[in-house]
Amino acid sequence: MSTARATLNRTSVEDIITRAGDHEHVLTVEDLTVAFTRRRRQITAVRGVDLTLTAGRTLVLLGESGSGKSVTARAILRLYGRSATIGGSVRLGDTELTTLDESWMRGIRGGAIGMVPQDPSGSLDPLRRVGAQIVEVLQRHDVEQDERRGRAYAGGLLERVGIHDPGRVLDAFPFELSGGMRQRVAIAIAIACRPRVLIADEPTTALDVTVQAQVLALFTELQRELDMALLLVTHDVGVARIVGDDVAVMYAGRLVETGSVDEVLARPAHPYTAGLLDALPLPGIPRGELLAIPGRPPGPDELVSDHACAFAPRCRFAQPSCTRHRPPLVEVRPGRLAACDVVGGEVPRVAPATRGATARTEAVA
Amino acid sequence: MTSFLTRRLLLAIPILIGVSIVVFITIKLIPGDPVAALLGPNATPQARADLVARMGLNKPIPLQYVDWIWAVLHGNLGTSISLQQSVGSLVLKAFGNTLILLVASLFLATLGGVVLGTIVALRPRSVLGRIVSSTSLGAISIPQYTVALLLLLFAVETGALPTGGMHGTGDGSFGDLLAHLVLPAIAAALTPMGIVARMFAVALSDVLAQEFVESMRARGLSQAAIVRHAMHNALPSLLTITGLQVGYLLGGVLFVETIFAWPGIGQQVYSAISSRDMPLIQAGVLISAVVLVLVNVVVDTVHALVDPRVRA
Repeated sequence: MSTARATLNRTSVEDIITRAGDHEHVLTVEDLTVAFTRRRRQITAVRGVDLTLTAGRTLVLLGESGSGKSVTARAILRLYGRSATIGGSVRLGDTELTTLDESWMRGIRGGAIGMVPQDPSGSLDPLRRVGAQIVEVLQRHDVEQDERRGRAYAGGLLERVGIHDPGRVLDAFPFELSGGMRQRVAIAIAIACRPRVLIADEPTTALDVTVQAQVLALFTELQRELDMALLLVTHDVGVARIVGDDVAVMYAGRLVETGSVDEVLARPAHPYTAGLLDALPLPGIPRGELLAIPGRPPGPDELVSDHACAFAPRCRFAQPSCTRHRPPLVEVRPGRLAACDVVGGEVPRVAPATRGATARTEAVA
Repeated sequence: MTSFLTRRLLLAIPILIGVSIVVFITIKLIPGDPVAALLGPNATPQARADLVARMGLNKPIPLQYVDWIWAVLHGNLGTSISLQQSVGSLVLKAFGNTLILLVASLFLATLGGVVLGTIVALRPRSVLGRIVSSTSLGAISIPQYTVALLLLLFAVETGALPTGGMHGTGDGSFGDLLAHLVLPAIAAALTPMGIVARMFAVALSDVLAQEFVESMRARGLSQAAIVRHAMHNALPSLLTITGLQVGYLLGGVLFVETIFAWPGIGQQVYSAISSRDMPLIQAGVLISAVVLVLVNVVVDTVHALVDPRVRA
């Protein structure tokens, strides 16, 4: 009886995943709201976020810590369980995930949607060998039930993520591997079931800079190979520039700007995005010329009025009207959305190139 | 693994030496004259002097220790003053009985503690979780003698279980032993069970808060599989917790033995103290202390077997 139900579930989940492949927009997030209850107080961490993931493309979710970007990523997979109230809609192909039965949702997690966690050292069970942990996932999603063949399959996965001695790594405990290796293992597990969507939450933040570049290159490669949609959560503008096709900038739980990476980074339409870019250290710029954004972002438990721009207190373009009315996310140019009605579609700023040039001239002088 | 075990065993040697010194000195410090106890009040000074010389009591204390430990290492624990039998065989037999009670109550305390702790860790805010949590606090707070007396009262009133001794019918059947074991084991196990429950609940919730648990959820693993992983990870803490409880449990068992007339080392040492039977007291205390040290070696070894990071 229970076996029959399990089989039914599996075929249904497989069906959902196959159907998702037919849609150009594999994953659609609409008006997503995530709220937690802490000590009888409602804390809204994400408010009205819209995202569209397309097969073969990378969407970068950019923002400071506390902006709600990681919460958004986790809420898509419903990882918070009953501790969070999720509003709005998350659709995989044509299947609504926010109301999907939990047992089906388990088939979606790791099956249709893979996730690469932030801290590779914490993402694996410290007491079990790497091979056993990969095989467990393969068995769970019915990729390979047989232990021996599962191990061979796992070895293949490790080779695919650039591990040259899969035999040793399969037999290793997580603590015997370097951070970069562990992250490769985590990626291998995430892609084990050929997911349609890969969510990576700050996948390179805990890694050395040289390893970061390798891991980012690996993401791009795997994405092309498997034709996945990639949602990459990061606070790092540099990472966005390297791997992103599109970018969505978050601030205080809301989207403030979206568009293609090239355009948004070249001509930001929201003062916050511009602030992030100005705060970016570029080679040749002396420390004194970095323009930090004053103040700090509001924490998720701080009350943010729904009738004011959350960024206004830190914004150098802020007008009195900014604290009385929250600018909606509107199209400022074709394919570009921004939530600021003061700067009129483009933030006037010193171009990074000029900043670099000035710095270089000063250095020469 | 072999090198780990060798290292751990070598480390136990100085501890055992220290333990034996403490036991020896403690016995020396106990008021009372074993010679007087042996010979009675009417002994002649000559008889006294002979006995003192025969027992080596005229030698310097360090030398007495060396003599004693040398004999102990050769399996000679001396002769009981009151029973005029070899202390070694007396203590060994009694300790076997104590071990039965110790293992039974350790089993109860660990099993009960793990079950209760798991409920609290998995459902901390549920009604069941709260009830279990306060029950284990209650188990810790009730003094052992109250528990023992309540159990005795229960047994006498209902007549369901034997109230003392190890065997009733004398046929030595396992069922008979088990029936006699129930009450003393519960009495000794209750407090450690509460402690294990509370500490294991904390250990398991710590593991459940670790990042790999969320990662496993994100991989689609079932709740049962995740709890299995988490339990495995909480096992080292459980070992440490129960290892610590063995000491407490041993103390409790020795006490409970006297109440339930369990013919173990506790009862033996208790009667040896009243008859100033120094060799018997000494051997009883020594064997209890040595067992504690060995239990710790076992705990560390199992810990290393469970956690690869420890044995590396």
